[in-house]
Order: sequence, then C-alpha cells, then structure tokens
Amino acid sequence: MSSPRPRRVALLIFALLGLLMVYAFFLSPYGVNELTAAGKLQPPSWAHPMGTDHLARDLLTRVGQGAGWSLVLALGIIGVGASLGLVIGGPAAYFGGPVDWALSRLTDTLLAFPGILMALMLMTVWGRGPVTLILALGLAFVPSFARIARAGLQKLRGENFIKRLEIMDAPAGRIIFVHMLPLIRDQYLNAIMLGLANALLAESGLSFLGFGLQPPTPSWGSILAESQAYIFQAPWYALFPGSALVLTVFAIYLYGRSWQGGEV
Amino acid sequence: MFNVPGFRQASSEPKARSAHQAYCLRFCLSLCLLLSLCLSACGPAPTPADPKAAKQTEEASEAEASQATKGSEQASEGESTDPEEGQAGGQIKVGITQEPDFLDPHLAVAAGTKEILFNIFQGLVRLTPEGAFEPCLATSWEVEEDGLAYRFYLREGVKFHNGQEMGLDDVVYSLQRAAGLGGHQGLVNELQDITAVEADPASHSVLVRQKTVNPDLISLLTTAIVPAGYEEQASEPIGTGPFKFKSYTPQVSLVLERFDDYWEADKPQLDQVTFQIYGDMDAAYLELMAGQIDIFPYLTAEKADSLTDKYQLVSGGANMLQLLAFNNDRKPLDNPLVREAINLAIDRDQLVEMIMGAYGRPVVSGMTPSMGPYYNGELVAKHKTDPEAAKAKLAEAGYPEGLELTVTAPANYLIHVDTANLIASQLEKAGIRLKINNVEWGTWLEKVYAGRDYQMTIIALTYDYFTPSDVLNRYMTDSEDNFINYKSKAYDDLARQAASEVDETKREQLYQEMQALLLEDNASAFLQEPFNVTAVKKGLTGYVQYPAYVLDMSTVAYEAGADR
Repeated sequence: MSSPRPRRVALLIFALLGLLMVYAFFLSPYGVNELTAAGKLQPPSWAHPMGTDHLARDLLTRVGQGAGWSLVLALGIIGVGASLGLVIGGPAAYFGGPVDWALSRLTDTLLAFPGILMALMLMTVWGRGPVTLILALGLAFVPSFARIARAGLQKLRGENFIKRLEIMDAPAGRIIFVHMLPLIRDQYLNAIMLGLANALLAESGLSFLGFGLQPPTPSWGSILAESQAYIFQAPWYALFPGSALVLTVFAIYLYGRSWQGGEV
Repeated sequence: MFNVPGFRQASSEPKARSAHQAYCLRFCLSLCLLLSLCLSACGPAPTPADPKAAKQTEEASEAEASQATKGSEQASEGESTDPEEGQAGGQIKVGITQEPDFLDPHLAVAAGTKEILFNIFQGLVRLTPEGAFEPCLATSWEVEEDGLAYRFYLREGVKFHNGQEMGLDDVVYSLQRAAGLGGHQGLVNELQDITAVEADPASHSVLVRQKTVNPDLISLLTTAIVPAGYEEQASEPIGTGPFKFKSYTPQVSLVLERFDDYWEADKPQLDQVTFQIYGDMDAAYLELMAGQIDIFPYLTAEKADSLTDKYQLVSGGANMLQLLAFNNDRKPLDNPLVREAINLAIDRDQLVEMIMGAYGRPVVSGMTPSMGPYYNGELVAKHKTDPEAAKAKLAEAGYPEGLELTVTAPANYLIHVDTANLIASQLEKAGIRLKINNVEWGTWLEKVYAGRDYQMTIIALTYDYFTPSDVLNRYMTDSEDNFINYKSKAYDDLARQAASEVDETKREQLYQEMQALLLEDNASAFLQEPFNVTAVKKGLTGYVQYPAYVLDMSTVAYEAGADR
C-alpha cells in the first residue's frame, strides 16, 4: 500500500550514513582530533574528501563520528521523551477523571514552555553535558508523546477485553503496558520516528550553542558551530555537516511517512 | 585589572576589560573584557622612568610625535605613511565592538574605552608607538629626593576643549582626584602610592611625591589632566586632546570632532571621527566587506585576509598574552613533572600558525616581546617541543599510562576555544587526554579567575599600564591577581628587588630573571602573543599600531586626492 520509492531513498541515505560512521570510527587513517599535515581549511581532495577544518582535522572523520554522537544523543532524548510520555499518558487514559485531569494539566504546563527554551533553562540549572542535554531535551519531548499515548490508549479504554481484565483483577500497570500498549505500537513507533528527526535537530541546535558533548568530541551541531566563522572562506566546512543533518532528517521523515502508509 | 584577551567582548569585572576582539577574539572574540593587567611602562626606547635619565627635552618628544611609526617592527604589515603626505580635513568612521564603560577618564577601566579616550584626554606623559613614555602636558621632569619625588615642568599654552588654559591648579586637581588626595575619593587604584601633589608657580611645575621609590610612576602619569572642579566629565568630557567630544549615543556611536586650539602643530588631520558601535565582529564584518567602515581595529586573523582588496592591514603586538594557566594548587598540576610534561608537549609554532596565522608570535614565559628591553628573548629558543620527553616525565611523575585533565575555556572567545581544541590534539601525542569545559564569560570570571576553582584554563591577559611590574607582579604569592596560585619565594624576592631598583639595566635584568624562573618552574604554559590586526581603508594614511590598547586618530589623514 505504500509507495516503495520514498522508502528506498530513505534506506539508501541510512546506508550511506552507516558507511560514513563505520569509516569514521574504524577505518579512517586520521584520528578525530589529529592535526593532519594537509593544513587548515583545505578544500575537498582525495586525501580529505570533505576537506579539513580550521584546526587541520579531517572533516570526513569528524562528520562521521559526529553522526554517531548526534544519533546517540537523539536516541537518548527520544528514549527519555517516549518513556516518560507513556508513564504520563498511560495512566491518564486508563484512569480518566481526576487523574487524567491532573496529568493532562501537567503536560499542558510543560507544553506551554517552548521546548528549546525550557531545555536551555534546565541546562543552566543542571550544568552542561551530554547527560543533562538528553534529560533536558527529553523532558521537552514528553508532552507530545504523552498526548499521543493518551489519545491512542483512550480509544481502547471502552473495549470489552479491558473490562474483562478488570474483572479478573489484573493490576492497572499490567493492563496498560502489557495489554493495551502493543495495540498502539505502530502508531507510537511512528511518532518516535518523527520525533527522532526533531530530536536530531534540537540536539544540533543546543550543541551549536555549546551545550552538548564535551569538546573536542564532535557532534553535527558543534561542527556547524565551529564552521560558522569560516563560512565565507571555507563554505564546504559548514556545507558537509549541514547537508548530512538535512539529509538524515529528510530520510527519517520519508521513512516514517512510508511506514505510516501515507503518500509522500 | 585584567583583561581578557582578545577578543573583545565585554568584560568587566574587577577590572576586566575588553580586549579587542580581533582575534580573539578579539574575536575573541571580539571584545571582551579582558582582564586587564597592569601595565608598566617600558619600552624599547630609553625610558624616562629611569630617574637618572631625568630630563627629556621637548624637542625630542616632538620629533617623535610627528613621526608616524609602526607599532612593533616585527609585526607591522600595513603601510603607515607619513602624515605629511596626507591632506587635512574629512571625517572617518571607526568600528568598535564595545560600549564605553565611562566617559570620565578616571573612572574608565575597559580597554575598549581607554583606547578611545586617548584622543580626548592627555596626561603629563604619554605612551609612544615604540612603547616608551614621552613628555606630553609636561615638557620635562626631574627626579628629586632619590626617586621619592618627581618634578614635572608644565607645558605652556595648552588649552582645554572649553577654551580655558591649562594651569597648575588643573594638574593638582586631576592628580589628587585620581589618587585620592585633598579630600577626593581616589579613582585610580594604581596611583594610591602618591602621597602629595604640590604646585610651584615660580617654576611652573608640580612636585609628585610617592611612598616608596618606584620608577614605574612615570607610566602611571598618563592619567588624564582635566579642568579643575569640572563635574560633568561623565556626560560632556573635556580634556586637552586633539579631538573634542561631540556626542555619544549609547549602542550607536561616539562622535569626536577636531579641536582647533590643540597644542601640537599638524594635529589632528581629520575634522571628525565617529566611533560606530557594533554588537560584535560579525556584525561589523558585512559592513567591512562593503567598505562602509574606514578603520576597524579588532579583526580576527581568518577574516583579515579576506578584506585586502579594500583595506590595508596594520598589525602588531599589543602586549596581549595568551596562556594555558595551570592551577598550581590542584592535583596533579601541583606536581612540577606534570606541568613540565604539558609544557614539553605543546608546539607553540604550530599553535601560532593554526590559530593566528601570520598574526601572532610564540611566547614561553609571562611577558610578551612588546615589552621591549624587559622581555627575555632567549627563552623562546630554549624551549623545545618533545612529546616523547613529555611521556617520560609523566611516567616519572607516576602516570605511565598518561592522564586525563580538564581545561576550562571561556565559550565567548573563539580563539581560546580553538586553542583548547588544538592543545587537546597536541597533548594526545603525549598520552594526555584533555577534556574541554566551555563556560560562560560570567562564570569564568567568577569561578575561574576570582574563585580559582579550575584545573587548567585558557585566557589572554592584557594590561592597564605598560610597566613590567604590572605584567609580572601578578604571579607573586600574595597577589590577588595570582589566579594560577604560583608560589615561589625566589620569584617574590626578585619582584621586590626590581620594584625599587633605580638602575635601569639592573631592573631589566631582574625582570628577565623572573621570566626565566616562571619557565623553569613551568608555572603555566605561556602560549603566544596574538597580534592586534586593524583594517585601514585604502586612501587613509598615518594610522599607527601601539603596543597597547590605543586608537590614536590624531595622525590619520586622507591621502592627497583620495576618495573620501
């Protein structure tokens, strides 16, 4: 039912990304922080297919390893957001009434803050670093996941099998997470997929502002931040990590859409 | 008083001021506050601070004054032609990246403000582009009472911008106001050793007495002379400089105009100078590319080279010192072997090349070559980069497997962040893994500089006064600016000896020994002197780079026939 072409494009981009990471982490002749002999801000060449950065480091290696770290952070963010979303959305849908009201107002409150702004505020309080970045951005993603979980599960609330489980005295947690959750799995995974693209962008945004990994470990956002000063002299420096980010986000959307069965 | 280097962002703190942003940072990012250090005077030229050298003639000073020299020989690239070739008149726009902190010259602490006020206010003496001190509102001076007092003979016929003639009472008032004598509060800390300022109408001179013998007094007397009793300095500054204040619009511009009754012939050349305030180097860059700014002093190295079709570049040392500071109290840096290993692993030549390109020079101890005779030039050649030797030192120190260290860098100064990344790469070869912790400027000032709560940090220091004592005394055990916690009795003794040494040659030697000691003890890893790079529009002539933060507009002129 879905058009296979967008999915193929997406898979192709994922494969390239995978190759890039394998090369950068395992095969590259250059260390990620190694000052190469080529000199700084060199344009792309055979030795350095993406050129070198302002400290003469190999850009391909950095963008590849940056991909790895960016994805790890993005997955962490989504992991926090999606699981807390279930924890809030599940009981809200199952118990309804005052519990639903309280949990929904909580998510509304979270939603009232612009996500990035809240993450920045939290990181100011908690300090910088990858763990706080994951927690802070993860929290920013909680409300949307909580709503999706609540909406999906609420539809199941009136089903007969739930009533039967209740009669059998099954614990609420078991009913929500073991019996109801699998029924919204596809829907939820799809939300996670699209959320991943947003998390990648959000992570890059905060890393760009210097809130991400501890340098000199690269992520796409931090490479972009470093390249900013050289955008006129060495446009490829910003272009490669920027394109990698855009393509990856694009591929995730494509894949998510094709999975959902929609036309792209 | 410290300025953080480079990069002129705003600084401000105990005297932090901004350094220029030019590279660093000054790009440093561009502006900043750098920590200012103090300065001491001294320069390549025979320094008047030598009590025995006492009298300097006015002739000499005028000869020097009319010569547009370049800042430091090594550094200057730009054309600085003789102003005589220029033609008078015209107006220019100078880009700055820092808001003035105070217009009152005795209150201003930011380097970015002082370098502008240089055009409005003058002191008894002034700094020359060569880094010496020459007579200015005084025509000459004599040492009296074995160095405990100096007598300054005042120049006649100098007028303030309000038309009033400068007299003895103005000088006494100004110095008392700055030093906190005669019921004044005392606005300039460095002048607190002055005990009395006495006027002698018969010889048209003032006598300045100080608590102890201190040859650096001369350099401190660049302190502005202002009209006695005038209370409006903060809003309508009045001095004796070649330009008078016209208007100041916060966040927009500070405008100066030609002072027709200025005492030096041939100065100034321009009718009006507008200091246009930009948020940062990047904001100014687009206008630079379009040729809308005539002079821009805080260029970053990588941007400078892209402007050469419309601009000449004038660069030179401005006595800014970038260092990888070790907290000597913190483990494992309390171990001299570890400090030595780090110093051995850092390749300064590569660092200068990568970070500053042609606009910097390597340094291995606590003073820059800008300080002329006080600078110990032999040390750079002595230091060798050797990662293998560094590994051996680490093994000897008990870290055969290498170790992990953290450097805290101020995130707003790109130059320091880049330097941290580069050093991380260099140290990897010696088995040291460097973690970089980028912090906000406010955090840096509070925690790192004031709180000394750090392991290593990268910063550039600039100095309020051009004196060797201001540069080196901060590493004395009890100095409140000794943020590296260096403790050496031998060093303290040398510093005290140098402070009261009146023989200039011996003084130079003592300061050179102090630098050797800093390197020997590996008190910190001193890295480089980033240059100040100024873009001067083609068609302008006479701009001079000083070895300190000074934007002297009095010698700038349009070339004959230049397009205005």
